[in-house]
Amino acid sequence: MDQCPDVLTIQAVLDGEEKSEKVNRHIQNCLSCRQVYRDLSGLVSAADRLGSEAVLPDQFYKTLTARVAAKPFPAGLVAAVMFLFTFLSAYLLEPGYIQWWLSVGMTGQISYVLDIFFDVLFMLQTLGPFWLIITLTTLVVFEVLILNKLKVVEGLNDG
Amino acid sequence: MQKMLHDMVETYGDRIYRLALRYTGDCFQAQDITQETFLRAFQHQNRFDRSKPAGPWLFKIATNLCRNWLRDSREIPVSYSEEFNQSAAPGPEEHYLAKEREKVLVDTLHQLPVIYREVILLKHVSELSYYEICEALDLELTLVKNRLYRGRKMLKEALEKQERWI
Repeated sequence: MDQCPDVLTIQAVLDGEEKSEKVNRHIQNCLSCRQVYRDLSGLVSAADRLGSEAVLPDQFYKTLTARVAAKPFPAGLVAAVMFLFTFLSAYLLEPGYIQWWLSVGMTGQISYVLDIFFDVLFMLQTLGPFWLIITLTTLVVFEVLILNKLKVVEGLNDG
Repeated sequence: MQKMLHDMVETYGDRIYRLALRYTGDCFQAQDITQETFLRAFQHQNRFDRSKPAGPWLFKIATNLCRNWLRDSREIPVSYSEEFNQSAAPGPEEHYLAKEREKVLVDTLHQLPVIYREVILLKHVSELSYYEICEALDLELTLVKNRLYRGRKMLKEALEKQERWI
């Protein structure tokens, strides 16, 4: 081999990834390549300081298998059961109600929902001041409770 | 299935843990990442080609989890972990110096751009081969060699600069 290998090939030799006899022999016999090899060894030893002997704790596998065995919460199934329950109970209590829902079609259902929405809106407008007072009182009570909790956490209530 | 999981943990568990530990600097966070890696591997085992070794695939999951962690906790500086400083230093002075050197090493590592840091960690902490690093990071071999060379160079220069102050 007449031409010197590039620095990445020499690095691969150093890392044990390049096993070509030709390249190895060239590095041994070429002064400049030997110098590159020595420089690269310095870089490798600096990075080797990152290596460690840290090991996973003993209970790691036990915790992992417990998590693997745990079944995920069947949210879809629960939602389907709840829907079915609501639908069936509504039908059993008032069969005509469900039949009406099914008979009016999509536009009828949408206009019904909008009607209810506006009804509720008007009702809230009438009850406006009452809701405002309730909301403000709740906020004040919560703030007092939170401030009190913070004082306990920060130790301001001690002594 | 449980046997496959057990074998994977036996073979790669500690190496993934060390990678996550170097990445995060926190042993609890590293344990979480390691556990999540195996959990995801177990849940998506149908995506895994069993004719190939599991290593690169597991390290790909682990690296992605580490990246997510880095993205979510960008403002928290990675701290030095006592777990790495388990060398039995003979006296208090040596112990202190070892601790300082370790601190400098962690700081320097985390100053490197993430593309170089990842390749260096996979090579020097997890001891992966070039091929495994290519698979884990979805990179071309030339790019891995290049990043490894430039990363090592940056790390050494930065370490020399930092250690002059100790």
